[in-house]
Amino acid sequence: MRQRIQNLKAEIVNAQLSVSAQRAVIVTQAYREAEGLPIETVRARAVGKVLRELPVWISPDELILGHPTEYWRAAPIFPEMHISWLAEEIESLDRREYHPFAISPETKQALYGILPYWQGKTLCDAAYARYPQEVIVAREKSGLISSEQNERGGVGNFLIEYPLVLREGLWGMKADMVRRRDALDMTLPESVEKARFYEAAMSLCDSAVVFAGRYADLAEELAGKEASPARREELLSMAEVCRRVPAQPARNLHEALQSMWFIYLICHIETNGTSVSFGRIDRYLLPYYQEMVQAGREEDAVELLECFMVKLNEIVRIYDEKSAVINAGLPSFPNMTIGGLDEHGKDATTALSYRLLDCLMDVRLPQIHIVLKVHRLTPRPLLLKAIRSVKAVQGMPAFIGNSSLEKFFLTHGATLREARESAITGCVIPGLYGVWSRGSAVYVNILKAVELAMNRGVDPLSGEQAGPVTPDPAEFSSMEDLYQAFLVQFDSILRRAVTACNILDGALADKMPHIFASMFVRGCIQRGRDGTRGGANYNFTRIMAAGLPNTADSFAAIEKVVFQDKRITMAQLAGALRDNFQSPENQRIRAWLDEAPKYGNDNDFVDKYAVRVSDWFFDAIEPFRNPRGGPFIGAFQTLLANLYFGRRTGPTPDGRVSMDTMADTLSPAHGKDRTGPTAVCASCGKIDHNRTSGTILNLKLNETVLATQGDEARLADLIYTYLVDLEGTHVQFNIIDNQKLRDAQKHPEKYRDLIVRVSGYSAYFTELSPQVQQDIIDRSELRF
Amino acid sequence: MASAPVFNIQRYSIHDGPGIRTTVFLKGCPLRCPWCSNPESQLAVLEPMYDQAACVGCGWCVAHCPRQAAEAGPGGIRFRRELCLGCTRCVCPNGARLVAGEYRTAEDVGAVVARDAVFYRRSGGGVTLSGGEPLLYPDFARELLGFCRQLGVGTAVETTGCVPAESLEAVLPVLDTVLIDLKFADSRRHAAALGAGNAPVLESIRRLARWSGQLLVRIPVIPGWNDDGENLAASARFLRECGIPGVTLLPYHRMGEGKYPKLDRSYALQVPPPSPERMEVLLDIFRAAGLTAVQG
Repeated sequence: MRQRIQNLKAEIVNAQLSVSAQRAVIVTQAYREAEGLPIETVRARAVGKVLRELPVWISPDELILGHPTEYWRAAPIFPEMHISWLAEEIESLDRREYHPFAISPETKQALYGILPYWQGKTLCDAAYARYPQEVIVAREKSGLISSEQNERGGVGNFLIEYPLVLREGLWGMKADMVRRRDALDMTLPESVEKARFYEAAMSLCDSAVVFAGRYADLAEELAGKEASPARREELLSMAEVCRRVPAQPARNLHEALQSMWFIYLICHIETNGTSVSFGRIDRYLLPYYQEMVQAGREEDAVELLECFMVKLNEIVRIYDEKSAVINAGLPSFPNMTIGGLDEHGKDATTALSYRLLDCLMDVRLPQIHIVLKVHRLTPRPLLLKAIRSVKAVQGMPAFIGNSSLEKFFLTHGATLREARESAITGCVIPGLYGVWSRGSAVYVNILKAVELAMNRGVDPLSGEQAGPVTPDPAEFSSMEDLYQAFLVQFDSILRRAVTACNILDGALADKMPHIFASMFVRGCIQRGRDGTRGGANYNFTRIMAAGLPNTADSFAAIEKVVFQDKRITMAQLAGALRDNFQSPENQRIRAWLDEAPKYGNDNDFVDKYAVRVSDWFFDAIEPFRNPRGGPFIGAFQTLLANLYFGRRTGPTPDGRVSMDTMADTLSPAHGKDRTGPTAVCASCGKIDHNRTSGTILNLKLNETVLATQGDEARLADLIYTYLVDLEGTHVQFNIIDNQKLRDAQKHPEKYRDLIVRVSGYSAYFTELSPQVQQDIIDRSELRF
Repeated sequence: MASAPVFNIQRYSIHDGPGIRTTVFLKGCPLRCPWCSNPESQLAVLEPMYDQAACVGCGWCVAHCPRQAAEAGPGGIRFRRELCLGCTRCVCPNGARLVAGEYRTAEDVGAVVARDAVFYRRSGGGVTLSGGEPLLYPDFARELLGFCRQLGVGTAVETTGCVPAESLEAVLPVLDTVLIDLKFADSRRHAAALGAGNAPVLESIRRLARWSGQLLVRIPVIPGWNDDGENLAASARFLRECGIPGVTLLPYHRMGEGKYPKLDRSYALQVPPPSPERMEVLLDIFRAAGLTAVQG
């Protein structure tokens, strides 16, 4: 790794998180000036003004230019979406527990200055004013759903159609829009809105080019003052690059990466949506990369790629305290998909697929999100290289099954060719050019439906009648009685989730059209309509379900302990839950529940419930439609909503105590998988992955299980089997470090599933003697 | 239908033969290696195990033992092992009381093994019968491994070799791989350390050297016990004589130590694991004798 990259990386790593008021102040001014104008015009003016006025600066080592704010790692504020939270939290921002942000007195003053203007005007305010009471209860009081993300930030979750940008440049795209606008029949009522969209988008093309031009000017200016001839040369060449892109087609790798960064950055300046993604980067960048390799400039190509990867870490989002919990690590998920198939169904691996993994291992920063799309033709060396990267970079890349991703799109009307070209947006969200997925629209808490079914619809934690009144659980005489009550509760939760999403869709269309972003989502320019209003070719709303493993475990525990072994009655179970398993008698009940079969061990007794609930979930949501004319799609994904929902869910029949965390996504509940990773994959693989729009399976491994080449080969086999043979959607690996091992010594109950390798043998860590545990910790520390 | 006492079935075993494997551990062993990492594998009978750390003192075992082997006292729960019938009634929900071993039929175990068939196919893996000494149960082994063969699942045993020749012969037709340990080349030292001479072991190795399947000979390296030049050179000579081309050396580890107290036994061995440099020296002894030698 060159010194330049180390220096740039150090800037990121050493920068303190802080808040910037610049964007917020400029946007506020623009909104004041544009009051009364159509929203598309307001948005184009506001974002355009930011691009024309935001301070521009160049750091000594940079080759790719453009910053979101005036300092390294400062988070801009998006007052037009949600700002009232700042009024409450601004004074405690720098000392909160999760992700504190430094904030200067001037910034505070500037933000206080704009707060009054936005009162009642934000996206968030508009959405809140429209929610019915049952949505408010479900969300604010009882932790049934969480749909805050898209009302406090942009929608994100789309692929930028970079091949188009690199081929046409913004001028090419603008010329297309000019033609389309001129061809509009203005006597048609819908043409008015279309013309507004084109005008706004074209003006943003101009602003984007101005933004790039400001960097070109600055580079030239600095070149004039630069003492070092080499740096002067670089500055002049960067000036030339920024004069050319993103306006015009990219002719070389430097122009391509600079153009990509500008577009990505401006999408983030427009809105702060996460998961704006790069798609099949190892394919469309290949010609540029090869050209440099052939010219003997491979090292320079790597340097440019690494500069670009470091850049991705400049996007910092600030969340209110509550959302900062779900989004620990402040991920922006700039996904790059490598591997996969080409449009003819052949392996699409390129030299760049390997090279990007090298860069990932070199740079090692958190906001570089690579997934490898695995199919039956994926070369084994690529998979093995990815596994070595997993070891080096703590779990990156993640692995995605090509097969279920393809089938997902075929189900939703894509052509085979399109489906083959699919990529991932964000962490695991299915993406194509032309998908507007509302990928992080809403989380639903399945386990809460179990809790409500055990409490006649009353949420014990808040005391609210949070769901329909279902029969007294003491009267349930079979699993079926319980299951039907659960479905009534789950259905009610889902309906409120759908309601919340559709209301927010309306508010987004009214208040927050994503004009600039929409240009890069196929269909929007063709229809003259932005993504929030249904301009895209594919319009999904994605419901992410949390708590399936605990739900299956709960049903299995009740079936075993109450109905099969008849150790306790339903009334006793309800009593034990009310008591949070505190009394000695209830502790024993908890131990029995805990002993029942658990999801993640390839045991059909419990896995059948995971399958049944997930089938019902897909059946239930697929008929719903969003205002953009598209379907709802289901996913099993939590990020850290498992902690958030966990704190809002009382004791559950799987033996989980009140407010404890729940299982993360489709991974077994913590410490409940005792049968090894093949059994976890088998349990997880029983769910119909072809119907999901993404699942997450996290497998925990200690680095000692990946010690040798043989170990790596076995893991490669495991990945192939799960993703190709079992058609799983996603798997990633958590490499457990010594800190966790120490925690496992203190809390063995949480780490029962942790496998370590010592020497020729593997074992469950918690079952080893304290001395051996210490041995393992000591020895692996030596290797660092 | 044959059955055998199984004390563990471990899926995703990646160090007991080729590919991803399921290892089935059977109880009962003719040898008594002081370094044994699975002490509960030694006796063929079912044995109670007690994990003091997991015990919350709930009294479940006291209440359920038909022979009052568990007694509540001032210092906690006392257990008189000699009274134990192995009836499993004391096994408690907290996981403090376990009984090692459960008689299971070959059919039943085969169904568990078959669950990972898709993983074996992809990785070239399969089932490994281990122990203890799995060949103490030749009928069970033959039935289980034969069943796996029919499914196209690869088969292996991990044996001490300290078994009658006919037991080995009974399973060879359904085996792909044999892993066998050679602990001492000299029978007297073998007997002194492990409680039985090595004649059957050497005989098994000779037989396996002529066998058409895959043979992996391994030597556990226990400092101060068998890592002297004399033993290792003699072992190398013996393997050469048999025409066996290679050997794997397994450095001593203390993985089983935590299990001894659960059986009311103490872990007698107090030797440090061999250093990587030492292992290199020992590997060279075999290489000098013309064998390929690797560390496992």
